[in-house]
Amino acid sequence: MKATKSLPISADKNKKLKSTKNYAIPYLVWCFVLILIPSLVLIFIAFSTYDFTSGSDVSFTFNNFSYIFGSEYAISVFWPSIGRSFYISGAVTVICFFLGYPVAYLMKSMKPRVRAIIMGLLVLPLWSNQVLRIVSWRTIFELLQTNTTNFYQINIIIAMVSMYLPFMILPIYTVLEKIDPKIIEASYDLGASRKQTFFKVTLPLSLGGIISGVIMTFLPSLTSFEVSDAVSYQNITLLGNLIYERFRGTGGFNVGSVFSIVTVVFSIVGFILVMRVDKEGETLI
Amino acid sequence: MKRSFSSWFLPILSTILSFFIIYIPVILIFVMSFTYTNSLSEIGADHLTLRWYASLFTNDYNSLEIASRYASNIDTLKDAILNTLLITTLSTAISTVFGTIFAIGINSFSKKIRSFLMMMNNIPVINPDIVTGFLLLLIFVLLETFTGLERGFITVLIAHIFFSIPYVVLSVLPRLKQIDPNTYEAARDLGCTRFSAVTKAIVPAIMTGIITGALFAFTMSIDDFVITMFVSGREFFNVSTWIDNSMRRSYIPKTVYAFNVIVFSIAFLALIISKFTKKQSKGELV
Amino acid sequence: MQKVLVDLKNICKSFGDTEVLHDFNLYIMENEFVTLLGPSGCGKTTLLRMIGGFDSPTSGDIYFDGKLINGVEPNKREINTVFQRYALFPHLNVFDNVAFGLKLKKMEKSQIKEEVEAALKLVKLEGFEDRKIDTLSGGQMQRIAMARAIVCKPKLLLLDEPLAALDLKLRQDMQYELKEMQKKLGITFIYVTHDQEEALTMSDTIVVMNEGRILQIGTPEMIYNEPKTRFVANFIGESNIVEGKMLKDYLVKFEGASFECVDNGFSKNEDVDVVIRPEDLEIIDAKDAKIKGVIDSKTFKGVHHEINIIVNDKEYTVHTTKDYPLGIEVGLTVSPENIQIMKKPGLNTFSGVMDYDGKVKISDNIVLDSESELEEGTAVVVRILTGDVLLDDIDESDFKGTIKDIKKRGIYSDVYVESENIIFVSSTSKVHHVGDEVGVWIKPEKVKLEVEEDEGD
Repeated sequence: MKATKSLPISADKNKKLKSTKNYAIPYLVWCFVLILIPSLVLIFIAFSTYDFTSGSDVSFTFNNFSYIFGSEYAISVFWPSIGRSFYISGAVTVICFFLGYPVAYLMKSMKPRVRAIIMGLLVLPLWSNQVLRIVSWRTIFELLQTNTTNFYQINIIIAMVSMYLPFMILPIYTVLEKIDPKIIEASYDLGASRKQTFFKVTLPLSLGGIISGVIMTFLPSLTSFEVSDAVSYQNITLLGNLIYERFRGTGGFNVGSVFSIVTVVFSIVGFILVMRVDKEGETLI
Repeated sequence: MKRSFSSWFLPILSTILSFFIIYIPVILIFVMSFTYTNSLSEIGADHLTLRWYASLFTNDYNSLEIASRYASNIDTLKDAILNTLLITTLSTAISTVFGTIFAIGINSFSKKIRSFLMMMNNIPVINPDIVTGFLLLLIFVLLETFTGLERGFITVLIAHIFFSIPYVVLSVLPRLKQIDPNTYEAARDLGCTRFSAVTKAIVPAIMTGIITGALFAFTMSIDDFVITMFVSGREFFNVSTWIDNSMRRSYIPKTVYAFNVIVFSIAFLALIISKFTKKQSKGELV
Repeated sequence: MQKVLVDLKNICKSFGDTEVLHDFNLYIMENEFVTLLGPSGCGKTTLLRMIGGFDSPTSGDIYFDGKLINGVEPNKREINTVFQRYALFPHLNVFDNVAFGLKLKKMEKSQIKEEVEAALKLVKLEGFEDRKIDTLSGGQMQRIAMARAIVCKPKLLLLDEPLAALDLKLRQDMQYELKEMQKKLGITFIYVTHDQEEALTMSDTIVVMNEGRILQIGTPEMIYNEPKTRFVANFIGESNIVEGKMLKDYLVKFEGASFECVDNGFSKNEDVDVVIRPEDLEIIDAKDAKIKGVIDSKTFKGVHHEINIIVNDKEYTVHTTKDYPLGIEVGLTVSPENIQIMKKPGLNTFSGVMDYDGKVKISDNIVLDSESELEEGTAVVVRILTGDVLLDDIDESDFKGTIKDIKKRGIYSDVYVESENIIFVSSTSKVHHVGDEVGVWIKPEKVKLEVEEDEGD
């Protein structure tokens, strides 16, 4: 009998074989550093008097929050701005949905090559600078002479629809494209009319894309500041403008954080909605 | 079943309206880039010129009859253009490489953990830019306090990589799910190291997803305004923040319109060429 | 003399809380065709992945060719794998797929060409070099996967259900070809499948697995003819399994009659399971038979008729080439060598009284946890399968006892442990010695209770 050969590497015994799972670990660290830590800082400065620019003393306070509840500012500026933001972004989202869903529906029934071209044409405007596009809307309104107080809100809505419409169409299209055509045929086979098939089969099956599209339109328009600044010559103040002002002005980070937290609450609601219908975010792009 | 024209009427009308509203500003930018003055009242009677395009490629603004008060502005624009191109190229390259690696890692987890990781991944996608920008600003202010690293090129690059990676992951992951789950193991089995199994077996198989992801990363980066605004400090500009800065100072030199039309045209040509020459493979988005 | 090529020692593997392999021991000889056979989820693929180097055991050692290879990367092992859905590289053509491993070995171009051609010839796909993978049929992809693995000249080839995706006819052809290839190449094959027919056709040795344990190891004939457990008997082909009693060596009683058989080593009047394959039962005239029944239903299966016969309210399945009319009374007979006797799964039975919180008291100091919600004071019968009585270190156990006796039962032993004059029987594959003191441990969900009926009823 031959004696057992010496072990190749003694450390081998307890060495575990690594899988490709390890490739995701740096990403976790990266997300932790760039999402979790600043979120904690955000909460910290929202509840404190800490001033980043001067490095003042730190003390715990609710003042930053009471600022948006009890103060004169809250009544005359903050809450009206929130209300206006919801009104405008709600309108933008509804318009985008009713304009965008038929587009996605039409794309789905095109030949693959035509679909791809329409898809490309929807993404293409992103290669034209967004700030310049907003400025162009201002120029258009000036040309049409609708750049007056009465029209500011409508102008903002039109410019935002132009900006965010592709983000409504793409998720809906992604979902519609995945629907097995046999399901639609089955519906006809079982006696449903076109209208019934659309409302009872196609529409419910595209719900995931609708939610993604709504969130991807609603949240950006809720928090946009550039559009209202440019189109209303800074006359209309929205949620985004409030945050932006705090960021521009000195010493406004604490209240700015409170505003951000308010925004985060809205986006968490949106996030949960999206994750419920689409766990891995496949409809987001 | 053939459909009547009436049932297509609404979708077609919506599509025409949608493209109209999306493309109006794009077309206006195109027109503006060829008109002489900036004055709106004269726009109809304006004569056409290529001087804004020429101004991109020369420093001798006198020959183009560009007033000296705009000339210095155009010089800062050229810096902003270089910044944009540099940031976009670097962040696209880096986020494509790392996004692909992370997607491969995420894909090898069970459904439950994968969902969690994708939730993390999707935070920057869903989170409004203004909040993402504010959060990144906070971490960079902290970084400045501790390391003295001032906001500028580096922080903007990190921020762009940060919001680009999720798009790469989202583009690559569906392709990964399509390939055989044992592809990596098969390559290891036949003698590949951990690294070469990825480069030789997985990457070629998911190439279309990687290209889509890179295009997304590039598109998001070159067009970014809000996040760059927050993390760039007061000295560093990309084209977006430069336009914003000019707008707030009430005048935008039209050279930037010319630049914008060039970028858009390159993308447009690339789209036309790719769609009309190459066979469309399934699942390809951009 | 043959030598051991793969030696698996005490392999345990858990994913989180689920244990997929329990203390697994197996050795495989050179040039052997070994099949791991079991239902999905039995741990067979996990085992294969550990041998291939894609997973690490939680504990235990894997020896290959005499060397410990636990932590050796898969690219450093002289082992190749044919994956379940082949995992061919879609971006490479047939030639580049097959040449993949050779190129990594930095082999000369001309030699690579030669080797690839030889491998393609072996799998009968000469001239396919330039074909793209997505133009191949399932059977062709399977052959390319085979060629890609064997071209590397491994000492051991792992095959993970390689025929599962093929249709029946192709699968049968490939079974034959695989066996031929293995003989020709002289490579050891470890073949994983849940298809008993595949296992019986190709293997030198079959390892039947379930729930991460080996149930039986043997040649195809042994496994088919002498299944050791009910699970093996059912898994390997259809079987009639009935309860019987071993009157003495070579004599078993079932269906009210005694039959000669070829088994021995049971205790007198021990309850046993009797296994008879459908093709081993013979239909004869009722008046000559010890077993009588009525034909209840029948199906024509091509080669044979499958006839179901009701005997004493039990259904027997018989395969015969002759057709019989429905409803007639027939007799059944079976020759002694076709009667397979299996030990019944062991059962511990105690009487006890319920205590608080589902605890059940079976003696002064022995109190077991159960999941029952019976009231305190209820008299119960406690039943615990011998396989659920776990022997462990004394510290972590429910109570301790002394080993009084050990009876070998094939790969298991029945260990008799005495505690406070109560005997517990534990079926285990671990080694124990008579006289040792051990801890006894029973999971609460394994303790089955039944309210004791009053005698007077």
